[in-house]
Amino acid sequence: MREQGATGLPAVGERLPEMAIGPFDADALARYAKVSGDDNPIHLDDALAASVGLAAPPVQGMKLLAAFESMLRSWRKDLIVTRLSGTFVQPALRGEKVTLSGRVMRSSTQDGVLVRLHAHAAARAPAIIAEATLRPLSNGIRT
Amino acid sequence: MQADSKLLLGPTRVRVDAERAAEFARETNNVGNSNIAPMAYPAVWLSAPQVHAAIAGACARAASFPLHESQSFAYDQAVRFDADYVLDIAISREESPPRLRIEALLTTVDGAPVGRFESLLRLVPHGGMPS
Repeated sequence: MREQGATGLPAVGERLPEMAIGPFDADALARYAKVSGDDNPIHLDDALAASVGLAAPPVQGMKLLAAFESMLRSWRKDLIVTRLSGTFVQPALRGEKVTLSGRVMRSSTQDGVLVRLHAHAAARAPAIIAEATLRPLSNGIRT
Repeated sequence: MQADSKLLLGPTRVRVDAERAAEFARETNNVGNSNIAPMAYPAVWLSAPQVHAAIAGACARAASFPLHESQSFAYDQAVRFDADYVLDIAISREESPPRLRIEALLTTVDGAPVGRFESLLRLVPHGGMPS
């Protein structure tokens, strides 16, 4: 059972249910490149990826960062995400499964709920270190 | 673009393409929200030809390719499918480390704030990863 404060907001330290995405194949990277307009060849060209020391093309960081929104929405439907930011630390490569995780770092009616997020692929270091701010639907962004 | 200079693009009128937004949602595990764009959808606008050309030009001059270093999206209100918005973009070239900072401001046509987005692209010399 999730512990909540009197405000109904999540407790500091609460861990979000993990979400697994991928593995993404070349077609998936090509589809994202097409729909997003991100035609950086590093994501699609094996030889270019190899030239910078990667075993396979990296998955577009934005494709992974964007997936946090789904995890956050599934976690708490009474909260809305108002801010999402992430640093792309380590490439997640084509063919690797990616696990999204998160933990509540701050929970305040005034400042919102701050969640620290990680995306992990095969490498030991996280692929993405991110943060999101969520607010109750009642005083969040206008939808 | 010279280091420390800033290229301003816009204001540009933008609108969510419902079909493209649905496809973007599918490709980013965000299905299920039918009338609000995924919060990362403005990435589509940041790949517009004029932005793309500015990035490509900076990369060519630096004999580098862009590596996405960080990204942020912050919203005052959701981006709807049925509304027009105004997008202003500023692209700055930074020298140490070599990178491009792309800042975008999205407002309603009446000037009300909607969202702020920032992309940092590291410029990686051909043949090497950044240290």
